Parts: sequence; structure tokens; C-alpha cells
Amino acid sequence: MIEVQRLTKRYGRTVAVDGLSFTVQPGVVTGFLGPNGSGKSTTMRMILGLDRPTSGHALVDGRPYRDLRAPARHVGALLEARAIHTGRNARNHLLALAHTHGVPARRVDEVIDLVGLRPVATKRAGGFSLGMGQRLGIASALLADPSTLILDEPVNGLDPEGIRWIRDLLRGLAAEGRAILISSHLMSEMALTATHLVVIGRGRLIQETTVADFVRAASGTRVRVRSPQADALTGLLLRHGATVQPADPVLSSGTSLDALEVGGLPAERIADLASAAGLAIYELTPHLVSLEEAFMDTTRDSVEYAAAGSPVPHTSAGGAR
Amino acid sequence: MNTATLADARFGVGTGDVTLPRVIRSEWTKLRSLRSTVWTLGIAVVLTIGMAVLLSVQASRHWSVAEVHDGRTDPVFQTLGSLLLVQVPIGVLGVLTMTGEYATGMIRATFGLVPRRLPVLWAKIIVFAGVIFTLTLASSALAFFIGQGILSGKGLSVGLGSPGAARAILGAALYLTLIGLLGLGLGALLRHTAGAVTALLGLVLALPFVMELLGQSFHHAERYTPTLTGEALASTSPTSVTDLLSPQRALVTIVCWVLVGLAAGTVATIRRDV
Repeated sequence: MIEVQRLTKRYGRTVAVDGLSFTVQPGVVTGFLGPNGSGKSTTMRMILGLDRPTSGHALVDGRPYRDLRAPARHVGALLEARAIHTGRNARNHLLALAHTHGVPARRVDEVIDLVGLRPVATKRAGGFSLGMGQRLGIASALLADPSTLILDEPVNGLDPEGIRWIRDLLRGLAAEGRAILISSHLMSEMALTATHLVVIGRGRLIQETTVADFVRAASGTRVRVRSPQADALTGLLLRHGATVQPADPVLSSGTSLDALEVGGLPAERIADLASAAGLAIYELTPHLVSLEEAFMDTTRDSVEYAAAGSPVPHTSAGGAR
Repeated sequence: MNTATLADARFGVGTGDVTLPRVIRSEWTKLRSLRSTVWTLGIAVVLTIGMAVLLSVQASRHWSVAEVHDGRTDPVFQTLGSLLLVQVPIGVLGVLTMTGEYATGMIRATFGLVPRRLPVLWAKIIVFAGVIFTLTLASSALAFFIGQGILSGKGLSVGLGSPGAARAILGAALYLTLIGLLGLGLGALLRHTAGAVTALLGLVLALPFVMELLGQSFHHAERYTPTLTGEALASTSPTSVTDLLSPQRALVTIVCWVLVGLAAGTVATIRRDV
């Protein structure tokens, strides 16, 4: 479990992280979202005691990370792929890390098998692909069987099979009661893996919520309704304060049916009203934007590096190191 | 308050607290698992022995027994003088012990596992010093005996029991170990291989030259440069002839150099973000 409290990091006059507070709960996968340079990596480094906060603090299982006597038992981290000496082989790399916590060599071989690196375990890491580097990084994060995982862009460089593998792995680890914080630029992937979200922009918290609520809030309350009695339904809904617009007619088994786009009433209420009035409903779909659309919408004002044509109010330093 | 009470007991099975012996074992694994370490140390040994053979053959052609007797030439330093060259690969290896981790980003994994950081630095110092001292002591002793064997043909050799000989062998090994630690300290301070190697070479190679160029007024100070303390430690000629510090003062001087380097490296290691 991670508690971040009023965490702030300044580099000279630029503020990378600004009074950030959030919690990463055990048992769920929490997605850490933010545009490039919004302070995600800096926050992760501060949680791990690698960067010193200007003010505020981060607690891991109730303690500052630096005070933990066996930190790897509490947190396993993957900050960057291929953070390994190119001349060392994967097994020796993991062994060196394992020795710090008295983790036996047996466990090293176990995590090598878990991430599927057995065939290359004794090859020099210099020749590893990005995907193999990611798997090695995940292996090192899992070495001491930690109760919390912090993974920065874990699916970067993985092939579809690898992405699926890590999604299942993370869900499984969360189901065991571990707290998991992952950042990713792949929104579709995040939507599939995470259930909770911490969204930041310019180092500040924008929202701490669940994926479902985040998407729902960004989607508004528009509902698509299809009924053979569209006219009657329209009158009924208008009387209850809804806004109704015709949606594109959909052809179904040769019959043209009117589809409506209804605003201002939740789907449940629409169904209840139609049912009470004896009107048939063939389709009732709350309109949902994708996580990506919701994210773009929410962070539009806090994008650090924008392409030409979409100017931002001001820029400050930061970005991945 | 005990950490164990806060940790979720379901996890972290089979792990223990971070202790210095464990970090030492980790650093030993890092050092031995790099082929570059083996290569560098191999080169150092070959240089030590090879130079001793070359210099001894050279001396056996030109020296007279009288010179050796007067202390004007030094058969001990003749077989150990390779340290002036060997200090470069050893020092660079010391630099790489630190900068290799910064260059690859491995340092974040290392400090992530040992967030107090100091145990990592101690462990690196202990492992590096242990390996280098053992190796350079063995290779210096070997160089001494091989060199004296060559010199003995002309009656120019001295034995291990002759005054200062054993101390010079020990001194050569100590000096090389200390130069390696100076490199380690500079690596911890500067974090970049090129910068730290440049600083190291500046101290051990360029500094005596610069002082030489500055002339007589700096002649006295020149003896305090790292390289000349190394010469003093491995020589047995009287200081009146060599114009170097006594071995004791040379040792104190080089230890001071190294302590300053390591202290600066320690402060940077603890305080700076990684």
C-alpha cells in the first residue's frame, strides 16, 4: 500500500510535482495516467526514495521507503527497461539483486521461468530486445515477492502475447491482495488492466477515481434508445425533462426503426418510464467514450508537450529521465 | 516499531532484511560476473610481471654492483616500478565500479533495494579493495621474485629479507588498491565514466608533470602528488637519493588523497537524486 501526501518536487524554479496526494490500495491495479512530463516518473522515484521530495512525503506500508529494513519485500519496482549492465547475464544480474535481501538462488530461477527468460538467462543482457529487458525488469520486481508493485510503462516493447501475459499476471497479483501501480501510454491497455486511476497533469492531481467512473463522467449521460414506438417514446421522455434527438436509423430484418439519442435521463429511468407506459424498447445503450477519449478530454489543459497547432499556455521542464 | 509488523505477512516469503554482509555478497556477484573485470585485472597482472621482466633485463645490462650497494640504484623499485603504469587500469576499474551502474541505470535498482545507499558504497569499497589488494599483492610479489631472479645473474639482486623489500611489495599493493579506491570515489562523485577517468588521470599522471613544469618552487610539493607517493612506497633507496617522502609519510599522504575522494563521493552518493 502506498500513501502519497502533499508530495512536491521542484527543480530550481520549475515544479515537477506539485502537492500531489493519492493512495494505492491493496487488491487492485491502479493506473497512473498523465501526459508526458506530468511528473509520473518523478513521483515514482520519490516513492522509492531515489529522488528526495522538496516537501511532503510518500509512505509505503506506513513508512518512508528509506526506513524499510527489507524494502524489496514491500515494493517491487520496474522503472526503466534494460537498466542492466550490458556485459552481465540475466541470471547474474538477478542474483546480485537477490543477494541484498538474502533471496535464495532457487527463487531467482523461479522468476526467470515465470517471465519466460530461461532460454536466454545466461546470455549477456547487452543483446536483449526491449521486450526481453521488460521481462527481466518484471522478474527483478517480483524477486522478493513484494506486497506492492510499481511499474513504469511495463508493456513498452512487449508483443501482443507479452502484453496479454502481463495483463493476466498483474490481475492475478492484484487478486492475491497486492497493491499495484502502473503507468502506461496505451490507454486501451490501461482500460483492460486497471480498475482504479490516478490522473495527474503538470504535477497536480486531476482525478483519483475508478476507470468506470472516470469514463462515465467524461461520457456525460447520453443514452442511445431504439424503439418501434419512437414517436410515443419521444413525447414521453420530453415530458420528463429529457432532451431527445433522432439518431441514425438502424435497419433490422428489413424494418426501419427509429433510434433516439436521449440526454438528461439515466438509462434505468428511461427503461422504467417506457415499461410503465407499455412501450417496447429494443436497445438501451449508455453512450461511453473510451478511456483514451476521457483521458484526452480531462488532461487537455495540462499537456506539457503539444504538437504545433495546439499551443499550451506555458511550458516547464520535466519529462522522463 | 518493527517493520515486520507492518509488512503483510502473506508476502515476502523467503526474504531477509538488508544487511551489510548481504550487500557485500551482492557486490561481489556484480564484480565477478563482468568479463571486463576479469580482462582488466588480467591486463594489470600481465603489465606488472611483464614490466618487471623488461626493467630487470635492462638493469642487468647497465647497472654495477657498486651502484646497488650505494643505494644509487634500487633493484626493488626496478621490479615494482610497473605500478606507475598499472595504476591506470586499476584506477579506471575503480571508476567503472561506480559509473558502470550510473551509465546503465542499474544504480536505481541498486539503491531501490538498499535505499540507505551507504551500505552499497561500503560494500563496493570492501569488495573492490579486497580483490585488488589480494591480486596486486600476489602479482607484486611474483614480479619481485621474477625480477630478482633476472638481476641475480649479475649479482645485482636483493632478497625478500633485505631492508625495505617486503615493505615495498606491500606498499606497491597498498598503493594500487588506494588508487583504485580514489577512482571509485571520483566515480561516485562525478557519475560519468569519461569525466571521472579524466579527473583520475589528471591526478595521477598530469599533476606531477604540471608541477615539474612550474619549476623549483613546486619541487617540494611534487612529492605529495599521488604517483610520487606510490614511488616512495615501492622504493628502498634512501630518501636523500630519491628526494621522495619517507614510506610512512607517503602512506599517510596517499591515504589522505583517497579519503578526500571517497568523502566527496560519499556525500554525493547520499545527497543527490539518482
